[in-house]
Amino acid sequence: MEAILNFANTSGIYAFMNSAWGWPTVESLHFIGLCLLIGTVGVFDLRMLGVGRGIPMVALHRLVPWGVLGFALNVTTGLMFFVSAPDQYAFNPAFQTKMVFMALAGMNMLLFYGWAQGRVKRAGADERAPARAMTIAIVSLSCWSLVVVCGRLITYFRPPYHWCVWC
Amino acid sequence: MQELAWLEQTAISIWLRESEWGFFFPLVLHSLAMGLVVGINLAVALRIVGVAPAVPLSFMCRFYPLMRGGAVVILISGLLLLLAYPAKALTNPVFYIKLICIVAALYIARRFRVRLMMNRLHDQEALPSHVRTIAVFALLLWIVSISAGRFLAYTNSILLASSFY
Repeated sequence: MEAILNFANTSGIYAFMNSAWGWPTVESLHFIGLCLLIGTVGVFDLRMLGVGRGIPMVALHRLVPWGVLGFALNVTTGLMFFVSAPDQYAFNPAFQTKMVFMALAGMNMLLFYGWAQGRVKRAGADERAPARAMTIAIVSLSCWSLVVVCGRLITYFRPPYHWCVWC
Repeated sequence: MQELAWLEQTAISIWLRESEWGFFFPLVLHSLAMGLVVGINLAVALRIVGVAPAVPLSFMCRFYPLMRGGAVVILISGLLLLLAYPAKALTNPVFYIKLICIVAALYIARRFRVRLMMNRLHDQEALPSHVRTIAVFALLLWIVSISAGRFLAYTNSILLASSFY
């Protein structure tokens, strides 16, 4: 914790976050990244489930790099929150749960590119994705929604130190 | 101000503020529906700007029913959040900036459907530059409305009107 706060101080992040507009500005970027992720990856998941039939899935997948951009934005802004108040996050069960769902979403993504992508590419523009890809789409939408829910829950907990599982 | 103070003292407003989860449910629904509505709008705007050109634009309107559903959730959850702290938002100019941006962006989304998506002709061709400019403008409107929403939590001058009576 000391080391993290030290980094936040020497890098200037702590000072920036606690300046007049620091915290809300970074939060705004975090929410914009969220919308980019849902608008690309989430829309692609919905298409695999059968919403927006007529759109070839390969064509729609071209939006996904913008979702990666949104995700990168959220990791960056998320780290800025974390280093500025590490004990409010590390010991916070909502934050810990959020990280679990992010890890699940990540593994689910690997599963998609390793195990389902080929079949999705071959699916017609008017079809749904094959069953395994639809399962992956449902897991993806659930995980990212729960990440948002946990994110909003973080401020509902002001955790005491003994909530930390590994300390 | 007196009316707002009265509103704050209604049972539902007190419940939203003081019960353990009364504020959380509308808050989290507002965020999730924001992701859906703004997300779909960003996807449409990106397609119009020229990302993913092989997506037939007319079929993007098949995401509109979801967008409308999300907009209803935003409206209802937003009204509940407003009911919890009416003076906090209504006395803050940032709140009106947010509302104006959302209404304008939704109007543009509607025009996109009526003018572009109803016509299969636009499916494959690159769109004229003024249409792409409007799409970029819509992106900016969403960015401003989201930011205004975040700043609302930090820029209020009054939290509760009842504190004056």
